[in-house]
Amino acid sequence: MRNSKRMKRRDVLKTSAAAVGTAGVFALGTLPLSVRPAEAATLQKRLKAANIKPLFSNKIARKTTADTYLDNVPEGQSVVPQAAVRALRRLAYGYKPEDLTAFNALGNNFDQRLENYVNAQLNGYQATFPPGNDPALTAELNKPGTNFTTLGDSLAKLWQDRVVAAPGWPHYNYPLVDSQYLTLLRCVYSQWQLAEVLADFWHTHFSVQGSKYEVAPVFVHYDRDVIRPNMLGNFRQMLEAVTKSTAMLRYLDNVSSTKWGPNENFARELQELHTLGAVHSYGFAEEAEIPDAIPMPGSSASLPAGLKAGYAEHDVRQATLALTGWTISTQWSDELNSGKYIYHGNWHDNSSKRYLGIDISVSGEAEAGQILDRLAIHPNTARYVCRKLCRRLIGDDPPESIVEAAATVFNDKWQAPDQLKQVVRAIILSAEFKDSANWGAKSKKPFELIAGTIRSCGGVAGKLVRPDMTSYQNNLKKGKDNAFSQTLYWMLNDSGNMLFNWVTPDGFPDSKPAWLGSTPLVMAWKVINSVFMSGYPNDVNDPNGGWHNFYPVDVVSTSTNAFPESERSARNLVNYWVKRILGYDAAAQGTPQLDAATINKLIAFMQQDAASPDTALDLSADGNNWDDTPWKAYTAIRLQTLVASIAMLPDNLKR
Amino acid sequence: MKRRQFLKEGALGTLAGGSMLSSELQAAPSYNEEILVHIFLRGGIDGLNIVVPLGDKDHEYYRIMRRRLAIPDTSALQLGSTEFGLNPKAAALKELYDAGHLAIVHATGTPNNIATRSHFDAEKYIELGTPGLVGTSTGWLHRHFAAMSGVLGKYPDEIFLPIVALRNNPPVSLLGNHSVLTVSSPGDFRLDNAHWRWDVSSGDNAGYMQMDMLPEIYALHNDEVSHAGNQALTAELILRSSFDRQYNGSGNLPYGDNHIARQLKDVAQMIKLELGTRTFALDYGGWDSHVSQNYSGNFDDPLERLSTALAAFMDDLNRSGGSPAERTTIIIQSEFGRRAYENNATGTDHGSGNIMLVIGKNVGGGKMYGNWPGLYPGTEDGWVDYANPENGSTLPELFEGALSTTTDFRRVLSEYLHKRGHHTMATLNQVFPGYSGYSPMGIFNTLPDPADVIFGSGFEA
Repeated sequence: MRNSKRMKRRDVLKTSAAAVGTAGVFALGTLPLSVRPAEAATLQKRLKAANIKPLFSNKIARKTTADTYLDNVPEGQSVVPQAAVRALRRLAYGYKPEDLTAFNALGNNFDQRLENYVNAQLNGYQATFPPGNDPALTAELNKPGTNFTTLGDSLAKLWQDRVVAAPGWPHYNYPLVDSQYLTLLRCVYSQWQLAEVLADFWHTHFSVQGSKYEVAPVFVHYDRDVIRPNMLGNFRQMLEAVTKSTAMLRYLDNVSSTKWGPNENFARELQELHTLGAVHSYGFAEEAEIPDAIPMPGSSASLPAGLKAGYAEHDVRQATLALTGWTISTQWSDELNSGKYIYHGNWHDNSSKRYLGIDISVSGEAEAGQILDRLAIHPNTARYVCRKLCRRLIGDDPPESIVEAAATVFNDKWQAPDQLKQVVRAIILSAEFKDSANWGAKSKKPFELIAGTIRSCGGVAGKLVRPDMTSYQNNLKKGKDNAFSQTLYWMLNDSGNMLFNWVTPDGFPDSKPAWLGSTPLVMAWKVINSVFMSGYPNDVNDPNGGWHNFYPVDVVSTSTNAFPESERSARNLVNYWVKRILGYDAAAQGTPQLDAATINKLIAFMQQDAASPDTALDLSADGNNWDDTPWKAYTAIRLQTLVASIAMLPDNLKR
Repeated sequence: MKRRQFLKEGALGTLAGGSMLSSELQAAPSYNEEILVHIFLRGGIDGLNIVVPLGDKDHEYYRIMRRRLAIPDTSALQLGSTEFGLNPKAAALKELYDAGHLAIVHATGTPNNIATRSHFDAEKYIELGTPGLVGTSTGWLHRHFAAMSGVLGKYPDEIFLPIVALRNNPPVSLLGNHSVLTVSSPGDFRLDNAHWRWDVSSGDNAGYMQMDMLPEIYALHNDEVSHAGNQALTAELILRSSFDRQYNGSGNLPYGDNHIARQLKDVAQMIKLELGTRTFALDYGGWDSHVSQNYSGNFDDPLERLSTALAAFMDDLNRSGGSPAERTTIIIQSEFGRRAYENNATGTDHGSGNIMLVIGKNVGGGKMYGNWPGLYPGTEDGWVDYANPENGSTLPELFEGALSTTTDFRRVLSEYLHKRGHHTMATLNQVFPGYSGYSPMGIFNTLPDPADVIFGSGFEA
């Protein structure tokens, strides 16, 4: 009995995909589940038509050598965009042709334009933070009914309203949701795009899990007062601001670390994730076994004599003890209960300490300050942080040359007030950043893909609002904007890339394998479909009744504005939106072009039964006259789906 | 065909004259259909509070070091005649243990001399299968799969969903693998949400649809993003066509409604769908209990959920008939245990040795495995001033304040690979390079394989 079953399964597995019959793939004997008949024919057709293969096939790449098991996926011929488009697709959320026009006006050659662009972006953001000269963003924030409630609240007010008053869920969570939606608005509308790319980096570097009860009520403070004011400034200052932040103190438990019960959670991550990196850990080694740090070549930083090259478990313990008493004001600590950082001298361990091979020469609160000094001046902190920055801005495996060059700036300028800005400039203006060989060395994270798509398409037709988190019903009653915003919120969660919501302190992964998994791709694409078409009940009091569609991101009106009726052909529409989203300009001879096979499939989709790719389509057609004139029916929603599909192309995953 | 190749490469052709061999070659290849469900308990689960020491001295040390957190011997569920008891919240596991389907290894993990107390490095040590190294380019589950499908010829040439990770991104244990499906929620994993007129073709929808076009475009190029998208779209189609979102199992025990319960329920369904999956990788995290481990939401509840869901999963498979229950093995581990001492915040900090749980019908269950190192804390630990010299020694049995590791986790995993996958010494060495401690503890029953009858495995004396 078992044998016959085994044979059957084996037959199925051996059968090549294209030849799989309707009943073959899943329907095995007495299985309780099988392909639903309605979809079986579709499945068979798709497997054939799309040349879909089993996820594992030895027929594709048979690897039997003993020394390597890496599936070596060969790189195909894919197009590399021109230099300015590459830069803009990396340094902003979503490409826009308007960005290219502005970029090209910044100088006489690419190098000059890039330098001016980076300066303008970083200086402009700093000059106007919080947003002053950011008209599009300001306009969105000023739209009535966006529901933001906590963005202007001080830490004291956040603490009072969201913690002390114990308002319960979802109210304690609003500072987090406000920050998530504000960030989404910034990524879509702000003109200071590079700042958003960097804010994402630093939030990932100093990651706290926003949805944790300890963190959510004060998240506005963490984003607005801790990360953003420091991210173009000085690392030592940023490190101290993070260490003293209410969010981090609570997230990694340092609030409760005392001489009677030291808690090493934060102190460990301080070295492992925030500064030296686990790569510079010496585990349980004795101090004498650890080599001395070597000064960074080309840097003027003068290292303390005897500074060790890395840290060991004894350093984690010493840092833990030095940080005892670094807590916040609560009803139990100083009774003021303000939620702000305080140093609680009675809780502090007063034993003498030694850190990274050198005695700590101060006492009390200053001990931890000296530890932060040693970490900030350390050449291996420079290398660890700069490698991560290069990984974000250039590629998963950045060339050593740029890591070392950036680390040299980081270390040399460790006391400069604009240290981090100088480091970012050094990376972006480098030959390695400009090198076309590094294009596609990163893939976009789902949030980048989604926010970027909305930005490329000109934003949303209504407004993005901080949804009411109580129930979907309540959002429906508040209108389409609320309903769509809440749908978007949950879908972003499903993509695995909801902002500020990575559980562990290592932050969102920053590598291709992490984000090219099937779930991030399919879930991000699902969100993209939904931003081009969402649904709304005809009667908000009767969500079980009829619904109608609407377009949160409306590309139909943009298209009708761009082309007179006679020119709204499949070919023109495809070329127009490929240019808007990906930066390939079919009209510009001699510039890189998306491959013809892809273009032809997009045209075939938009054309359907129309006479030719150049036949004008009726973009006002959104009705059910399919039987009479197929190519005229549902043309508007077809265009919406076309643009969604362009945003889902493999080319749009690259950066 | 693969078998033949293996024979040649293995220089075993001298045996080719045997009549058994030629008949074996003419039959269909005997594929390995074993299913491994690997569950990683991220955060460092407190094994000492799950499988509690009840021996006189150790229980006393334990009670002293864990003033507020200890599970008293009066409430622990005694495991057979051992000196250990289960946390009462893991009562469901006790039933699996008594039924002979749960084996427990204690004091296991990464060897002391290379152990780390960093979550992220400790996880990499285990998932890469190269303790002490974090730069290895592939994970152990990938190398296992590659050996089975490659040199060992134990897998068919094509499998629809060979490996499923119920996560958003592949775990490090599958680093380097391009055949893994990562799907955190198979029921929601569908891409038919464009307007009905333009999403998928069916019935009178005969046009050129979005879901016709995208797979075609993703099949055009062979670069990394195209490959990934092609995989995603293939898996989407298979799951959309087969996965039942209402599936509730065939068993009598309730799974519960939580993260681990949903994952195990999804795994049970996918196993029964016979999609060819050989490896499922699951995560159940949140065990980093530095603070308030006595708060039920931080430890007791998740432990109870895990135990309940595991029992329901086994019951579901058992009652569905057929071979799934016979073919499935669950291995559960965490990156490290926690310190033997509780901290001042009624929590526990990062430690070393821990438990591993092995569940299945082909497991030597109802037993505990490993060497118990003891909990004598000595007097040298810098964190807590505790001295109890009555055993005549001040040398602690603890390692840096935590349960010492006496069984390398690779010893458990390699026994599985050999007994249930027929890995050879050569392929074990590829899965765990540099590991020479292969020595079965008897945790797994040996899966019969004709090849063993012919050649012998060379492992068992």
